[in-house]
Amino acid sequence: MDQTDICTLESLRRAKTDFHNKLCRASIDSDPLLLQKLRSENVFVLSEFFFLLSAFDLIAHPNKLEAYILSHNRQLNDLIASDERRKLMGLEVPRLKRGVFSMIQVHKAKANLLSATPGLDQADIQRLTIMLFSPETGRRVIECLEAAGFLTRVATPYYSKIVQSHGTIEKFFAEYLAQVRNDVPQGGTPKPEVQT
Amino acid sequence: MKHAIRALIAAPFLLAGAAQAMPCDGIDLSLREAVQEVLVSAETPRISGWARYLNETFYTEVSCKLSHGMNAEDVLRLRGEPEVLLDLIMGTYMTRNQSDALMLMLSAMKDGSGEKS
Repeated sequence: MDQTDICTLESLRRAKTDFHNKLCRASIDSDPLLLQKLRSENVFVLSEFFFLLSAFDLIAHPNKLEAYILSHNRQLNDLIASDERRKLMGLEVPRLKRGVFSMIQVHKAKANLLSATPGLDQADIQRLTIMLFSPETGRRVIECLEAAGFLTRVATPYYSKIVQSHGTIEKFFAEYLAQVRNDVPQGGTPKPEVQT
Repeated sequence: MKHAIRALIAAPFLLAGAAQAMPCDGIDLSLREAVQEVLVSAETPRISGWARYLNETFYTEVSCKLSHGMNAEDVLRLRGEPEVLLDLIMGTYMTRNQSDALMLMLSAMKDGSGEKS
């Protein structure tokens, strides 16, 4: 048995458990059903999304956001055109089409960053995470994080909801990564990457 | 035809899934009716026929699972797109690996930030 592998696995599992524990402890509402939802995989995945948005500083720069959205559109169109890849990922064309931004929606997303309440519209987040989960599931995860006090949704006169993160989930996600980095035993021989 | 095949593929997953139901917050009758309406009103006769064949227990089970992510209004928005609803229903029974999608997301964000992916 390779102890390094076991220690690595333990480190990963421990860091992820700690991440969810921190979310539960920091939640402003201790309703058991909410805490159960905070421990779900979808919460972890949406936290990763917010962490990356922050890490790449995409919310602060409309041009960066536009480049991201256009790249996202290209990925979706590639998947729509590739039956084999799409099936491997377990995704369907109607769902992917719901995630593609029109040029008007791209401009609105950029304009939202320059408004008095800068942030991404909930509908834009649902489009950007369409490969991860359905828009309905995305909304529920956002509502869960809002109920826990990690996000705020600001209603606009244009019937949109701007989602603003308070930074806690990004901080906990960064701590999760740091914990993995620090806990994984050093000195193991890296194995060649397996090509699939 | 494609939709009908998908429906036939989905059915065994749904029926098998009923045996390992997740706890439900309570039966949402409007959600159950919405699911039934979207499937029964499908243009593809094989989906609508299949939908009529299924009993109340089946619809209760499906709406219980969907209630973790949707309400009746969400489901009714899919009227005319029963294949999307079937996709969602299947998603409640099979946990999809999100790693590949997360890698694509990371790559798109790298493009946005100007870093090479």
